[in-house]
Amino acid sequence: MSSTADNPANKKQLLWGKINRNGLILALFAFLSTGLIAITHQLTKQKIALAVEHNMISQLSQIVPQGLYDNEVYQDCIKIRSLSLLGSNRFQKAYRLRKHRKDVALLLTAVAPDGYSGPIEFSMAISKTGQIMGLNIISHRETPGLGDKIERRKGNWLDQFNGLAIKNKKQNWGVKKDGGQFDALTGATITPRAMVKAAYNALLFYQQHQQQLFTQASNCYQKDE
Amino acid sequence: MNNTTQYSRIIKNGLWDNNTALVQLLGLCPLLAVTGTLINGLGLGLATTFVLVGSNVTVSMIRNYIPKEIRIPIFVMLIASFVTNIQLLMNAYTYQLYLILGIFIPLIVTNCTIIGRAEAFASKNPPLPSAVDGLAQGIGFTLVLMLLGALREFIGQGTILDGAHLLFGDWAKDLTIHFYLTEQKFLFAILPPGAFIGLGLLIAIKNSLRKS
Repeated sequence: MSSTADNPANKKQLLWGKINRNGLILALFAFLSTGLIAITHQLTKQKIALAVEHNMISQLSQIVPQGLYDNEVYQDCIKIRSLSLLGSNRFQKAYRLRKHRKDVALLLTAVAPDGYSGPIEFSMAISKTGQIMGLNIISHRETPGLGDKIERRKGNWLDQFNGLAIKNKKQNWGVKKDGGQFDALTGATITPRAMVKAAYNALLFYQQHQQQLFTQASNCYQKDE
Repeated sequence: MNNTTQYSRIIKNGLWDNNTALVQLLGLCPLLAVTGTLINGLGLGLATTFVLVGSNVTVSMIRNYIPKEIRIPIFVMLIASFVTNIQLLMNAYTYQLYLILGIFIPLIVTNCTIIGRAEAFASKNPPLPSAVDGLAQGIGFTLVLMLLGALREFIGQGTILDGAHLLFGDWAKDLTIHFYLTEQKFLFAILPPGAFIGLGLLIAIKNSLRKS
């Protein structure tokens, strides 16, 4: 018996058998765990999108007084997309706020692609005249205790944007460190820098498409082509 | 060994004798990153405890089916998929909670406590003791996070329980205790170096308690 086990050829075969078996088991677990994530992702995708949208619109009252509009904001919505100005290849949404059928303001979602640890999604309300009415953060992964101070419930950093328009000098659109007018956050400069840039770009997008943004027919709930 | 003594030993191990943060010195990355305030520490602690119990039970259940040579990559995959699934489910079904704790969840993956317990305990024990171990280790970790958070918050900005409403709802706004008002925050305590020194002090205190 021992002579066959000591035989180098047999040993090699044994080793290969083990490697094959372990490789297979590893592949099986990789398949299972990835599959599980894929399934959960599919099952929760819509639910998450709904929760995010719901939350965003329920927070609208923080930046736009409710008396200013009377339409169904959810329904009055178009898809917009601009990699350079809205920060993402994916469709963003623009909700129209109207009172007595007159355009009042626009609530659009956009992305600051260069946050400290990944993209920061936010929503921004812009009045018909092109002034920022307010910003809200939708999601981000900034460092807890430092960059996350941009969140409305952790401070009023976002209020600095209120009332600004594109006609404010370009150089003012920056954090103080860079010669602009925005306060940075203690221990976090990259986050505010990304937000200021993204807000400016989103405003530019509004400027360029203003007419179309208010007149185009709602299409948010049609299937993506 | 009878059951009760076994469990009480597991619990004592997790909370004190073999505490994750003070003795094993595991999970320091998230620990140093988020303990700027007590509430942040509590948030990360809760999320970690939850994942720790889940991954311990899962690893324990499959412990007899995986070959020894490849157990580590399998644990890594299991934990990663566990954390991602929790993140997705929380995002979908408890969105408000996700907004608060969601930021801590990616940090959990970087916490070696999880794989440490999978390897050191769950891969050698049945599911129930493994669950108890996960819970005890998690709570031990949480307590240190809270203590360090409170310390840094007190020194850095003169408050305790700042931001409690983020975790408990608006009624908790009044829980915040202001000890003194600072013109300028004491940055050193709030930034990571303060965490290193704070943790060092805690470890020193624990060691001196053990000796006496």
